[in-house]
Amino acid sequence: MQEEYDALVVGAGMSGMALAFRLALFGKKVALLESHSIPGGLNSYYSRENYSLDVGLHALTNFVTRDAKKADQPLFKMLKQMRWRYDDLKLIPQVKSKIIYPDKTLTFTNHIEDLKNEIKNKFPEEYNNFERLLKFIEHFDELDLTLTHQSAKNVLQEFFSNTQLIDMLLCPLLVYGSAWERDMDLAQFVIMFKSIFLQGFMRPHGGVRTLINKLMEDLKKVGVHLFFKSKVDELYKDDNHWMIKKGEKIFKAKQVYSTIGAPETFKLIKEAKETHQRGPLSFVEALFVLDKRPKEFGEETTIAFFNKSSKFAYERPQTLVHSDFAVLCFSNNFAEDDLEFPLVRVTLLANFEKWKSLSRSDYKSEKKKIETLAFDLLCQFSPGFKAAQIKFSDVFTPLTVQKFTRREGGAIYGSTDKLRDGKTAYKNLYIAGTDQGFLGVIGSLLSGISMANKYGLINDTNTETRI
Amino acid sequence: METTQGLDVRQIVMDIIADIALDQDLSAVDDNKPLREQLELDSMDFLDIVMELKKRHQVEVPQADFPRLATLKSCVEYLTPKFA
Ligand SMILES: Cc1cc2nc3c(=O)[nH]c(=O)nc-3n(C[C@H](O)[C@H](O)[C@H](O)COP(=O)(O)OP(=O)(O)OC[C@H]3O[C@@H](n4cnc5c(N)ncnc54)[C@H](O)[C@@H]3O)c2cc1C
Repeated sequence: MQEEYDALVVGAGMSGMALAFRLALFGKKVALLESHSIPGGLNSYYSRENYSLDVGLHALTNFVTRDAKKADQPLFKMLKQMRWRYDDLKLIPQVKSKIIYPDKTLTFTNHIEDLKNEIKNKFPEEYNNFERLLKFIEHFDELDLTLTHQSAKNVLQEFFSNTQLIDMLLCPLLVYGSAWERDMDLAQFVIMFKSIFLQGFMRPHGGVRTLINKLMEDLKKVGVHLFFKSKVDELYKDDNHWMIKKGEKIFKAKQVYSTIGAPETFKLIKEAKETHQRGPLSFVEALFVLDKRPKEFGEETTIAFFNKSSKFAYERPQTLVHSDFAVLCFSNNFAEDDLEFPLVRVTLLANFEKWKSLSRSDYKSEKKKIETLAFDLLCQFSPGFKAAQIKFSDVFTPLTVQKFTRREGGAIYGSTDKLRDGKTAYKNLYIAGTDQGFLGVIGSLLSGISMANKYGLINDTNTETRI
Repeated sequence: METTQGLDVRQIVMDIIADIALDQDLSAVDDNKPLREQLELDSMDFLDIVMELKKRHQVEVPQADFPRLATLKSCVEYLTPKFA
C-alpha cells in the first residue's frame, strides 16, 4: 500500500512536532514518523516507582514576562507561530543561578541588572567593557543566515583582558548551547547570551509534559498523521518523490524534513553523497529524589554551574566523566515549586567511547560510582545535603541517550557541522532541529517552525523571509 | 454598500490577527497607524496573515504588495477589490 503526503517529517522531538504542526496548520498533508513509543525526543519523560520524571529538563531559556516588548523576542515568536497563549505553558521563572569558580562566584537572574552589579563588584576593572559588550550584543543580528564562522572567544578577548571573566561568561552558554568544544560560534554565542542572560531561565508548570501534551493536542487538531514506534530505516527516491517503507506501507512525498541529526539522516540514504561529523560532546546525568526540598537543606539556587578548578574546560573528558565540573539543577527552586517531590539533577560532561568500551558489569558499577560522585559534588557545593536521604535515584549515560534518541555518540547537541539553512545535497531533503543549529527546547521549536516556513510554506506565497 | 464591504474586510483581517497574536489586546487599534508597531507584529506574523488570507478566503497577496498591508486602512483599501 502506498500513501502520498505533502511532506514526511522524521522524528517527533520538539523540532519535528513544531514543523509538522506548521505545515498542517496551512493545509499540508503531513506524516510524522517517530521511532520511540512517545514524543519528545531528547526532552521526553518517563515514570519510575511512581515518580513522573522529565528526561533531562533543567530549564527552558528565553524567559520574558507577559508584558515585555514582544518584537524580536524568541518566546513570543514561538508562541505566535504555534498559536499559543502566554498562559498555555504556565511558565515559571527561575530565582537565581550561579557560575562558581574556586575564588569567585557570579550570580545571575532573569534581570540583567543583577549580573551587571555582580560584575561591577567582582570585576570592577571590566565593568565598562561589559557594558560595551552588552551594546555590541544588542546590535548584533544573530539570525542573519549569511554570517560566516567567527570565534566567540576571540571576540570576547577584544572586550576583556581578564580571561577568567571570559571563561565564566562562556560557561553556561557553552553548556546549554554549544556542539563545539571549548569555544562557540559568535552568532551562537549571541543567541545564547540573549536567551540566558538577557532573557532567562524558566520551566513550564508540570515540566516538559505540559509542553509535549500541548504539542500533541495541537498536532491532532490540525490533522497531522502520527506514527509512533515507526523507526525510519531507509530513505529512497524515484524521480520526484522521497519514500519510506514501513512494513507493508510506503510513505511517499515530495519533501522530507529530518530532525534526527545530519549524520544520522545521511546514513538512511544508500550511497550517500554526504557524510557528516558526529558531535564530540555528551553528558552523564544523575537525578536524586530527596526526602526534603532543597530549601530545607539551605539551598535556594535554581541552577549552579559548579567549577572546582580554576580553568573551565568544556570538552570531552579523557575519562568516563569530567569530575571537576558539574551543572546542578534544583528543579524545586523556581519562583513557584510545582513539583510533587524534591528533585536535584547533577550533570557531568562525559566520554561516549569510554562508556561504550565498558563490559556490562563494569558499566553497572561505573554508573553506581557516578551516582556517588554526583552526590558528593552536590554536598561540596551545598553541604546541607549531607543530611539528605535519597528516596530514588537514576543515572543516565551517553549510551542511554543514544539508545533512546538514536543520537550518534549520545551527542545531545548534535554534529559540529551545522546546516544553518537546513539544505542538504539532496533536493527536497531538509534538516531541522539540533543539526540546523538551534539548540535547546526553545531553539528546536523555532528551528522546526522556521524550516517549515522557509521550505514548506513560503514558496506558496513567493516570499523570502528571515527567520 | 462600500462601507459594509469595508467593514467586513476589516473584520476579516482583525479575526486573523486575533488568531495569531492571541495575547494582544485589539480593542484600541487605530486604523491609520502601522499594525507592526501598534501590535508588535513582525515579518513572520505578516506572512501568517497572508497565508491565512489564502487559506480562509483564497485571496492571494504577492510579496511585492506586502507593504500595502501596513495599516488596517490600507489593508481594507487593498483587499476589498480582491473580495469583490
Ligand atoms: C539530558 C538532557 C538535558 C537537557 N536539558 C535541556 C534543558 O534543560 N533545556 C533545554 O532547552 N534543552 C535541554 N536539552 C536539549 C534539548 O532537549 C534538545 O536540544 C532538543 O530537545 C532537541 O530537539 P530536536 O527536535 O532537535 O531533536 P530530538 O529531540 O533528538 O528529536 C529527534 C527525534 O527523532 C527520533 N528518531 C531518531 N531516529 C529516528 C529514526 N530513524 N526514525 C524515526 N524517528 C527517529 C528520536 O526518537 C527523537 O524523538 C537537554 C537534553 C538532554 C538529553
